[in-house]
Amino acid sequence: MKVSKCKGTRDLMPQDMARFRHIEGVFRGCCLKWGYEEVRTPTLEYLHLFTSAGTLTPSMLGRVYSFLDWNGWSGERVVLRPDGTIPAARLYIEGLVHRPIARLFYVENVFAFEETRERWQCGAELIGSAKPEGDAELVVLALEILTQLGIEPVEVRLSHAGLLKGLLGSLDLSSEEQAELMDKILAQDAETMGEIKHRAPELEKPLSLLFALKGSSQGFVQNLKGIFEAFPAIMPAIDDLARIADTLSAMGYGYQIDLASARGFEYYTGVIFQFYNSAQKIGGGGRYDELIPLIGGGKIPASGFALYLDELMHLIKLEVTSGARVLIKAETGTGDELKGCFEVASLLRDRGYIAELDLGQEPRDFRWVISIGKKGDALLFQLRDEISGGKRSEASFELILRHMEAG
Amino acid sequence: MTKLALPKGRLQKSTAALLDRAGFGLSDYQEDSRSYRPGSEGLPQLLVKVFQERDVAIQVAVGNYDLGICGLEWVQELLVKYPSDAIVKVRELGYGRRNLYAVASKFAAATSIKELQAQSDAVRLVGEYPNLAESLALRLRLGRFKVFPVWGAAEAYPPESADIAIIPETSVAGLVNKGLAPLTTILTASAFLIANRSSLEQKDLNRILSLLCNVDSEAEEEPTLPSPGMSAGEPVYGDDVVALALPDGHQQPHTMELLTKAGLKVHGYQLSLPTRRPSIELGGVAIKVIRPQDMPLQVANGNFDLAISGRDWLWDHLFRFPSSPVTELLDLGFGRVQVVAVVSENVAADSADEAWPQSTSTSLINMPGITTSPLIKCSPLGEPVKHSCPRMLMS
Repeated sequence: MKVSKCKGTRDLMPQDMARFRHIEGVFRGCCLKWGYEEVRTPTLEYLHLFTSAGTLTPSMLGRVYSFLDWNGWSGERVVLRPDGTIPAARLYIEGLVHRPIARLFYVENVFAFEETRERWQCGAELIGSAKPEGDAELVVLALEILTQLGIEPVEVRLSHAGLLKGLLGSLDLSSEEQAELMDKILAQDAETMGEIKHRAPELEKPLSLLFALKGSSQGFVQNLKGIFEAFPAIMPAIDDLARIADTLSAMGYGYQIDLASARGFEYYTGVIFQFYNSAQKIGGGGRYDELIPLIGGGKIPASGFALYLDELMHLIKLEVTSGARVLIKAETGTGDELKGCFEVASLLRDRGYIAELDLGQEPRDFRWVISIGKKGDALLFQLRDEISGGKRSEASFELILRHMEAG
Repeated sequence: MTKLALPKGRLQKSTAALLDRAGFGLSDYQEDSRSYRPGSEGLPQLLVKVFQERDVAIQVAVGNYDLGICGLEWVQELLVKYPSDAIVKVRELGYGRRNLYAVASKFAAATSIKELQAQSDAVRLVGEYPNLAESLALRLRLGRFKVFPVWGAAEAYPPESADIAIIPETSVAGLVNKGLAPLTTILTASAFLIANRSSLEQKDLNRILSLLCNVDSEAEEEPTLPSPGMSAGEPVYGDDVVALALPDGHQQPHTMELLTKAGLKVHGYQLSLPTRRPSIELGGVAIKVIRPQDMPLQVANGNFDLAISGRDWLWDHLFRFPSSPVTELLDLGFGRVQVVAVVSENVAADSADEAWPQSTSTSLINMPGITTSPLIKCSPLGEPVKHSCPRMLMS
């Protein structure tokens, strides 16, 4: 029988894990310095956590891995979490709701029945603040992380969920119809725009503009006010955009306002920001003020972002710079020699070397090889430099160590 | 060799007529036939097998059969959960037309989608089509829902045990006759010829496809009357009532006899089964008639206090859900069957140990209630035959 990994999954090999851990380390380091605390939610969650809020579109929910648990006779289904933000919101409600402000971050995998079944995310959530400065903080934090990872160029695309919702709100639709229309738009259904134009000709022009306009200045945001003057319902959304654009401009960060980029998760209610490297999306987030109330946590605003680890792993340039590797061999394998090998390896590890006992490895993979034999009752240490080929024999390991440190 | 999967049950008569008109000359594919492998003298390269309708779509999708005939609803039931291009819908055959409705009981507190969407408790959906039920719940954006798959008699569950039932029916009038309130039509389905895409692309199916695609489909008359069916009945349950589930199907005559012997008079529990809620001359007891296969799950959820079912269904349930609160109360001593594991005659094994790895057979044998007896081999073209080797059985 040929064994293989599940379709749509991938193994992370040692070189992949080095990249993974590097990204995770940079992300954790930045988040901790900004006052964010690490959390981890379970891989399994109840399905109703994701359906109860109307947070994910039916097409997304149709792709979750859901199944009956061992006590599934009750009909309760569980899922492999398809998203990181909703479980983080649940965690906050269950354990941290007493905090007026919670800054949380996590590194987690999410699952969906797609070509790539399992994806890894570095997520940060700022719960409890409704201030635009909170959104700006998240954007700047994400940019700092991406800068430290050496990802460039990074393009920030800004949009606002309130623009689309505000325009659709002017249609005489039931909540179900509006939700269905939103689903189609969010699922990037190509025919939907034509359908909307047919149903509400008065929206044809503003919707076309909404999806066509792009700008990268505070002036552009002001222009939007003029263009959509006839739709006062969306003015608060434009004001929100203006505030975050002001902040980013003041801090010297570039951005592009792309109103069509308000696609993805239905739970976004405010500013939506996405991060691109060239044409590749490497992260995104936004404000989701209605999520926590919808899942029973009270009227608590929040916003957050996630960086896509899988994409970042392909982009970072990482040279593995671990400590020098040393191979430790016992000449004849006697008990004294082996005891010496373990002690020498331990001393080397204390000094930052990577020390491996000889189990048949190729010496050429190592910087140094230390052989331990016996001369009379005493141990004899032989050092071989695998680069120069030079050899030294000493009765004291301290002397061997000096040779190594002298290069 | 072209492999064709045919349905038994409601589509069998019309499918047999279609195949007759197409010149298949199948032996033993009639409504009263018990053969699962009808043959065709004129088409020696055709291998036919008869399946439950729901299994036809699965067999064709996985490639065990090249072609199949079943209702479109079973194709959709499969594809809605497991999107795949493995099935090609070749031709609508013009018979077996019916709608799949989501219904509530007319006695329920919530009889509209809007009310169900506003319901704070989990919305319970029941039906033979769990994937379509889940898809419907997502489409309706129900906040919290539970899907209970059943083998049949879905109309019996609302309102006490379900808020929504998924019911196949030819018309809304048929639902109303059963005391049900239609919520929405999920789909309209009729019999379809389906094909496995890979078979279609790689095998020569021309002879059989030509016969099936060129035969005239007989247009069915639209039913002017709702289909006959038993009434779902008015709920009579209360907290102080003992809810008893009685079986339909082959266990029903035995159960009727048992009740008679016990001196219990039950009205409406007869083979013609006019209602799903017979009445019993015993105060404080309410009865519903459902499939015995579905009873353990229903008892586990507290929808019934007592049920008369088979031990096979109970064990099947308990192996899947070890923490289930259902327990066996009394062996009623009738309807005994053996559940037997069989292998194909083509398997090169003369014993259970040879048929599968030792670890597997050992772990099976060590399960409670499972014993070995001679291995049963099943001929690909015939009925199971017994061999004088050990066999596995659960009693």
